[in-house]
Amino acid sequence: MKKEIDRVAEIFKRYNGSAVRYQPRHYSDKSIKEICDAVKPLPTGIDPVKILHDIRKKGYL
Amino acid sequence: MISEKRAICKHLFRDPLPEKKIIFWDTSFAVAAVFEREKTRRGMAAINFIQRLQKEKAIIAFSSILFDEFLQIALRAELIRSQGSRSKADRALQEGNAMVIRPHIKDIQKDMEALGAILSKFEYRPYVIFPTETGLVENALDLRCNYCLAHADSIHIASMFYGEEKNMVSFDREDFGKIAGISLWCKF
Repeated sequence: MKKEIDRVAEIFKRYNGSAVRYQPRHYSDKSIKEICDAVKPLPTGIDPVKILHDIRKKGYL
Repeated sequence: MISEKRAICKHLFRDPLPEKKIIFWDTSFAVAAVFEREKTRRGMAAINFIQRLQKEKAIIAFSSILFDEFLQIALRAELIRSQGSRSKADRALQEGNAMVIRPHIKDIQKDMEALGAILSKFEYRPYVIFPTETGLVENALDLRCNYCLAHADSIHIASMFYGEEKNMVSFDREDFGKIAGISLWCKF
């Protein structure tokens, strides 16, 4: 337990308290798989990682 | 000058997590989990790795630009779906075509909420790093010049270095693989 506290404390210290801690307004009771399954699926052939790559190379519209 | 040394590629399931169990996220990882999920091996690997991080009580961190990039992908993907091609989707965005964009707003909102729901599943609250931190943009521009990186890539890497981390999960091996001295979690 002490080791776990030390690990978290060390990371907190490293960020010097300046990075924002993400605090969600709602905590989901669904599993990761259920959360992702609830999102509308992309049609076959659309590669979201490729879209990201394009956005990074060409910039936002 | 681009270094000949490259990132060390780590396996999402076979390699042990780093000692302090802190892993930096690139946007490509989050989008693979949410948009590809079990439809591709990569999507499935992303979901399983999130579950591993959750189970092993890892701490996650990422640049604030992840939210913006995620939103851009959600928007583009929705428009490509409805318009049938990337060029038509891009045109609708350039024109700010309300007739085309408006019907998708609720779905895009749901995509963003799914990302929030995933982030809510971690025992320790994730760290979000903003590009306004001291020295971060300077470091990003250095990285951009040294490794010919895109602007966003350099911000992600500089944000990771800001917290003195060296472990990033990303499916963009082509760009992040160029960075010497980091461990890139990308194999599955």
